[in-house]
Amino acid sequence: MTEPVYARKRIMGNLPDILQLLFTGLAVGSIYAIIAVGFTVIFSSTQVVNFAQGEFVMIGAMVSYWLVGAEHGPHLPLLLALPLAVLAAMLVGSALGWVLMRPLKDASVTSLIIITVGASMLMHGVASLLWGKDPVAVAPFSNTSGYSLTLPAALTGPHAYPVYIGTQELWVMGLAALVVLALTFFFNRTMIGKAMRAVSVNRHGARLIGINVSRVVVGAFALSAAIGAIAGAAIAPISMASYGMGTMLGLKGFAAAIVGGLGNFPGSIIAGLLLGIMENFSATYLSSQYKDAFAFIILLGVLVISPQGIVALFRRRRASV
Amino acid sequence: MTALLDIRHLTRAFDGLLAVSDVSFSIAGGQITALIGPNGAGKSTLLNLVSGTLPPTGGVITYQGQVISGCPPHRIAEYGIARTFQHVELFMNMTAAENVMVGRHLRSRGTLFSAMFRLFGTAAEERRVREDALRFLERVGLREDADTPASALPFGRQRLLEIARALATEPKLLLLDEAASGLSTREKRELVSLIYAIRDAGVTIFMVDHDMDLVMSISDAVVVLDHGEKIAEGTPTAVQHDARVIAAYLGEEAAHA
Amino acid sequence: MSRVRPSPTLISVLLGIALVALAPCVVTNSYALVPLTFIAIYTILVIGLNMLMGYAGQVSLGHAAFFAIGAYTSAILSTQYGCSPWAAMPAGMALAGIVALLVGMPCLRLRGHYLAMATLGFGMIVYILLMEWPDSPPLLLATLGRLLHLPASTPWPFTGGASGLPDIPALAIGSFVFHTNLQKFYLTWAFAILALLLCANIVNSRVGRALRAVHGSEAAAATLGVNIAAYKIHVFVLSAILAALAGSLYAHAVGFISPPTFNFIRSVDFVVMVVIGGMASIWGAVLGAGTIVLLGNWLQDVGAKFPRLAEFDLIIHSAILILVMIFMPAGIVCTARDAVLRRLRGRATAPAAAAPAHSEEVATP
Repeated sequence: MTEPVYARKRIMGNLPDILQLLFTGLAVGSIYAIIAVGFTVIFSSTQVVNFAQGEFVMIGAMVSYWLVGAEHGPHLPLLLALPLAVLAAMLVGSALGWVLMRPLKDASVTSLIIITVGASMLMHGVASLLWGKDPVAVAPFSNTSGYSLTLPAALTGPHAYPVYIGTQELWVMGLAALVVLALTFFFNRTMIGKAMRAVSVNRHGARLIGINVSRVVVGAFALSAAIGAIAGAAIAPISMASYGMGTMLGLKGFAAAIVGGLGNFPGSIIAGLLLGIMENFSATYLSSQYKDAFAFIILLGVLVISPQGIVALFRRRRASV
Repeated sequence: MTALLDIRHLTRAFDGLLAVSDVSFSIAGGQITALIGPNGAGKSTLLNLVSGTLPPTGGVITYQGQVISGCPPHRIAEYGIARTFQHVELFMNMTAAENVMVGRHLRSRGTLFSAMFRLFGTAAEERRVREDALRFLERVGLREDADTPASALPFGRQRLLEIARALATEPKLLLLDEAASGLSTREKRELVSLIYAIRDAGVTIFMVDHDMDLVMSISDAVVVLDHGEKIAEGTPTAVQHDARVIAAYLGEEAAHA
Repeated sequence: MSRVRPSPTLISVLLGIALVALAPCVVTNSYALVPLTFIAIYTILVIGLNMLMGYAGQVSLGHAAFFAIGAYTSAILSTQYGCSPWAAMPAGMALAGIVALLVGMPCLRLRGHYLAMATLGFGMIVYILLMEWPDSPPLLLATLGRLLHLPASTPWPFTGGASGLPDIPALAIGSFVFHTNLQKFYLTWAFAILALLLCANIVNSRVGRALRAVHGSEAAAATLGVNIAAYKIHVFVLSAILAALAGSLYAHAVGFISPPTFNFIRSVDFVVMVVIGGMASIWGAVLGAGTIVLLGNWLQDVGAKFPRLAEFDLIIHSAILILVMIFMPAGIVCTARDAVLRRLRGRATAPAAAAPAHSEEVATP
């Protein structure tokens, strides 16, 4: 066997697989990225790590499922159901922000963590009561199922599988891009967005120049909940929806937020995308059972090497050169 | 005159804003040195840099020839530097005596393990630590309040308790951050004699204060900060007549008017 | 510590022993002793978590994982390797301690939420490992074993996956086996009281004082020479070891373990127990564990009649968590005690100055 030629053929033969994994990984990664952004929105304006972030995702998924597809639900069109689901999550998010106002003043990290964990469990419990414990399948956003993309035979050799481009994955990526664009506009162009940024830089100063800090805190929670809900509604057709889906998604979003550097927008988006891709590859090539453990191993690794995130690590390298 | 503490080009930036900027001076052993300056001059920040509560972003602090800047605060305490805080930082969940007993932390050795199983010597050490603590309370006149919760003490006594707690570490250098603020005239007088007593026991004192009369009457040397920069240094009389110092304080008064 | 009058710790311990000794006279139904046994087991774990949350100011959302490490080490060593349970127990504690050191080292130098998230992730990893543990050694480990000349007959540990591990032997001294509910009740409470005593010793010592100081003001404690990061790691490791001890007792008392006992929800339940008992009060651990175990039992009884009601436990636990943290951050016990004391004293001495908020931020100019 002439090794090099064989090896190259194998890689070429695997090209469709690799592209496929890249594509689906990017879709899941976009979800992690926007969940991470949701963490970042709350963290940067309140210094709170919201352990209930994943539950916003769950609310988005379950409410839109119930409004559109559930047997005893109202069978609304998606275009109406999606905003309603986002609204529901925003209401819950504002309530959480409002509840946290008092402990926020005492600035005890411990009680903030415990309250958001409690809120997470509460939503968990209520959801399991409302919608039961079984995961439900959710209809995709559009009826067209997807496109098969056949790569030129010159690249892959004969008998290669085509790459499957799922419509829902495209929806996920599109929505994620939209969320990022909308947020950029929101923080740079609107008054309330600028107020949130001011609070994140200097809470006391913001209060002095007349910004209503409590309103900003509640606003940050509502905004973050909306982002989470969009992520949930978008991922549900791919992953199914259940009352417990939020814990794992929230944790992975948090892992992305840490890897990107807590409070760093572009960092968390890139980290989220990378996490999705790496997870997808490791599930295929290493072990599918331990797929979920992978994100946490990365999280712990980053905490050991550079708790300020990977971006900070590069920045420090450059500064020391 | 040997310098106990030497500060060279000390700098601390907060998000690009320089709170302390390229400050250099030294503190002589056995003296009372005061750091003064208008509001927001960076006095407390400088004290936090010396005690390690904040790491500097530039410059070097040397204590008895050893570089201490960048060390964590507990390491700096081991070198023999103790401090009080501008906003009293007592352990409000503990009694006065217990507060001072924490000050004996470095002078006792019990570990988690020995405490759990009450190994040989634990009880004896515990007794000794308490006796020591009472002695330090005595020195600041708080012996009667030993078993009062720190939170129940009046403000003036809380300030004294903080000093007792700092003294319990047996420091060579004591940093006092606005120790006189919020005290009555009588309490201030008592504080001054306490500071003299501490100095006479061989402890060097570096204090930050607002109260001009107090600072000018008791300190041997004065350093003046304004906008994070050192603008004057010298004896109290010399500093009082320094044009830049007068300008800095006048500016502050003009701003208040 | 004056030698003349007995210390409050000693009195509490003697009182505890008396209560435990007499409890079976009141609770004559041996089935009713089972929840009391669980209270003892959870108390052991909650004391450690209480010290971590109350004194080190850190939250662990993964203590069910350390509980699992104790239980599974005990179960695997005693059923598959023929170890005595008394040897398996410290092995599990040591393993949990080492793992806690590895997880805690990077996180405990950072502020609160890092440890919480890392332990939450760690708990998930352990849960996945318990479920998906391979039946035979992975290639890498098998090769390593061959290189180290381990005999080929060395058994590969087996977790039983989702169906769990049955037939775990009960603890025994000589030929005396702790078999009946009453014997297990006494055994677990002996451990619980010992753990309470040892931890009370810590609280009333140099280290405990330093920890309480950290609780009061981190900045001040550090400038007095307290190495805060080191103490936080000590407490975290201690809490993991206690959790493993509890896990080991659980395995030998129940005789059967499976992953759902050790999931994320369980970790949160432990936090609820701490919060009910009040952070930084190790005697509150008994109350916290008691409330949750008895509440769970009651819900199960009620659930037999109204099936839907049994699903409310999560909601009730989380509601307790949120309400207590907002309205009684000192815990139910301490708040109630303080209220009673205030009544008795008739508000004699109001503190002169309200304690300033101990934020970690350092005064900026």
